[in-house]
Amino acid sequence: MEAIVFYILAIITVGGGLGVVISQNPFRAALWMVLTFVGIAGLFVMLHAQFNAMLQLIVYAGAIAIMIALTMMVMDRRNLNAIGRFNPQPLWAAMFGAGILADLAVLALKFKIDLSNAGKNLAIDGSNTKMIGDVLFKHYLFPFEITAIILLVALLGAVVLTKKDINQ
Amino acid sequence: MSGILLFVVLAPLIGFLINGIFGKWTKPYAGVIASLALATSFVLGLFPIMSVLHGNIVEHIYYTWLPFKEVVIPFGLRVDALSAVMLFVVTFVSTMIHIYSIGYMHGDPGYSRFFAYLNLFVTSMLLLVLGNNYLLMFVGWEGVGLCSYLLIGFWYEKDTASDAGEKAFVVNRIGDAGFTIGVMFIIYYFGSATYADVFPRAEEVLNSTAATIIGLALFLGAMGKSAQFPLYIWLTDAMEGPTPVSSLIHAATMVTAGVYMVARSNAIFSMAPIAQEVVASVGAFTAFYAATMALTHKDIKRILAYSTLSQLGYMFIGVGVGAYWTGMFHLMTHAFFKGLLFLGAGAVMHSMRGLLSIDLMGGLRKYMPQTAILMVIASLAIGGIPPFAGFFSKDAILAHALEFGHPIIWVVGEITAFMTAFYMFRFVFTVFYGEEKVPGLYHDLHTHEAPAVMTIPMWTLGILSMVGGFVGLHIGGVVPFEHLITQIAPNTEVANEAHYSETVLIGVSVTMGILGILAAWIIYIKKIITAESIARAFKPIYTLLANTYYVDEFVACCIVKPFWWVSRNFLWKIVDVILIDKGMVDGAGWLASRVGYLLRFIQTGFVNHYAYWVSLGVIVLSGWYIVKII
Amino acid sequence: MLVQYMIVSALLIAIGATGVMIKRNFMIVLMSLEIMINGAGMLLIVMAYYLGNVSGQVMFLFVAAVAASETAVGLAIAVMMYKRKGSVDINDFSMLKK
Repeated sequence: MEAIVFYILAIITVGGGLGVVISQNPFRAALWMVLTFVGIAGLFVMLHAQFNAMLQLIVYAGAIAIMIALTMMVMDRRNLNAIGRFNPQPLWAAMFGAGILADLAVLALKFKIDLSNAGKNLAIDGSNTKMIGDVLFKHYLFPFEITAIILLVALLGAVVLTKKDINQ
Repeated sequence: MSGILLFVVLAPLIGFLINGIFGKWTKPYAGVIASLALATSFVLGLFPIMSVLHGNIVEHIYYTWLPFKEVVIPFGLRVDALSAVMLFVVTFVSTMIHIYSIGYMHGDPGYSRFFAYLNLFVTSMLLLVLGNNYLLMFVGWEGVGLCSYLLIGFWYEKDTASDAGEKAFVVNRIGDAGFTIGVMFIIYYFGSATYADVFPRAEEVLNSTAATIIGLALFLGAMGKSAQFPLYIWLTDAMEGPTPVSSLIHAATMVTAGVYMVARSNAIFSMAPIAQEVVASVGAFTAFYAATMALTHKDIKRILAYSTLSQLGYMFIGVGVGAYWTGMFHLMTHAFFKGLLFLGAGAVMHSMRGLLSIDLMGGLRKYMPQTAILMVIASLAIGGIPPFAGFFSKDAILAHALEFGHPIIWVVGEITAFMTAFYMFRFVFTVFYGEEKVPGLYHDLHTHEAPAVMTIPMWTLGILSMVGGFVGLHIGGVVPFEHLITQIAPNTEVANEAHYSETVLIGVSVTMGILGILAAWIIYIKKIITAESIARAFKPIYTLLANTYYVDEFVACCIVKPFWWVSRNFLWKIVDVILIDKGMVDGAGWLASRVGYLLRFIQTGFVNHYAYWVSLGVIVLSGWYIVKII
Repeated sequence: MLVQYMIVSALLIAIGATGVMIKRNFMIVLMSLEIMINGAGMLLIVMAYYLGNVSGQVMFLFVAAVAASETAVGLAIAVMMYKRKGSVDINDFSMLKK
């Protein structure tokens, strides 16, 4: 049962990714991307990461996808669709992609760890969120604060970049 | 005690940092700050010295400085009888000279820089003296060399001063090479450079050949630092520096480092009779040779410089014949009276507006009564007249030279003692007695007695020049100073020690000193025989001496010129121009431009092409990792 | 199952990388980047599960935050590009050579 669910979700995820790469229309690509994110969220649930699954749905499938779609909406649709699908040398890019995949796949097959703890220590009182909160605010408080600063800087950066009229 | 000992070294360092970093603001108080730092060091230093006088050895290891695989060099400080004497001399004389310098250097534009250097010098000197291993001694050794260079060239706008600084540095390098070789041999044989590891095991580890090699190599270092023949040439030029520097570094402390080092290495030297013979012979030769040059010079500082060389020669006779305590004894008394002599010369220069030639002076006694008295005291001390300090130490050296079987050295030493008394009193009589040689000069220069800040340190040293020798008196069958030093540096065992009547030896020494003073009195006060008539009678010898045996000229034509020739024609024109400039520098540029020309084709400007290269890098790197784990 | 999960994440990373290299439309390049980051983040979750250590999940939180920032800046750049050239075709932007 679990394996079947996994394979369905895996196919959705990978298929969505392929869809993004293959489609010419960026709006369709965005929809494919959302499909990938949903598939990944499903996989997270299977990995006992319920909090992160929700995060994935809200942040990626929700916020980021909509941000990208909104940005595209301010652009000229015909212009966006007119851009060619691939670069002049798509084979090179595909080859490098295949190379990376081969490398990572060999590493995955060679990878061995102690699996005795699999699925343990991921929740307090059956709640994954509690566990994450516990660890995040006890052990990773400083990185957490730094993340806030990164987000702020990115916000300011985005504002500054778009505010100035480049042509002047 | 460990903290106190550390602060003995740190106090002058703190003074150096304050004056060196904040010199611009501390200028009016630089001298006071530096003197206070030194006084702190001196007072704190008294605690370990007291402990040593009670028969202990104070040794503290603070941390591991250089952990090599098998050889571990600690950063430790050690006060035993030898270093206690040095500690006392260095901190005491330095404090006095710092106080003196407050008056002497007053108004100099480099006032705070001067005191910063001086404090750095004392730090290095204390490290040299108190370090518990040879490498730490070497750090201090190089540190005092650096400070000596900086202070000789203190008035660097003067070409002669900066040249003299460089000369001191270069000549010292030769000696330092020897010292380094010696230390390397010690580490090779003992696997350690710590005194406590090396000396007790010297007899079992070393054979006499090895001891001779190490001894000669170390002595080469001592020759450079303590200006023995033939590496003495830098010391006279070092008089270009300010007079307190000449007094502190080039008379009282730094130049005696070589003597201290030989005495410190007594276990090695006692096993190497040949090395000892070399040390004693070089010392005796330098003592005689330098004294002859001091006879004819007219520059007051150079007379004292040659006299320093000569006295250093005495110290090397002492340590060379195996009676280490006599060398250390003379080192101590010499620091008092030679420091005083230089300070007196400085006071004269100060009131004569920098004039140095004895031909211009005469009758200064009326204008500078205190300085005149002090100079007479110091000259009596150096001339070996009892009961002044120099008499005891010099007599101890010469008596031991004779008793340990070196009669020729004894004869040379006695003749030198005569010359010493003669040239010192020539100096005193021509400068402070007689009549004014240039009428009205003193009035024009406003010649006056030095201020109290200068005379008080001089009086302190003067008192010590009078009474400092009493530690070498027989008290109840033992000489206290000998008893102290021989705990650490026992006299070398001599097979057939000769015994002579002490009264006769003292009589000869004193006679030599009095004869010298008498001769100077006849020539320069009574003018029964004038100096000119003697010079005319021995014209060739006089010319030779007045030109300091033409050694500088010899060095210039036989060493410096060929060196320049090789540098210019081989190192510059062939190695530098052809190999380095054309071959390596231009070649590297040419290669880079060729490679860049080829790489330019990769730069398309399209972002995805850069992504190709990035992914290629990822693939190759992870592929390499995969190949490694498979 | 570990190997399968890892293969899925490897596939996502490889597809994302290929997308970055192969696409002409800058908007899709940004999406590919998101997929790539998600592939890496998924590996963290996988390892958190199989090692029984929740730290991996916390790390994903940080990855998500950084990815969001990166998207914000990337979209700002896209808007700027569009303002300047009226197009988001990266082949119009070979300024690195100049």
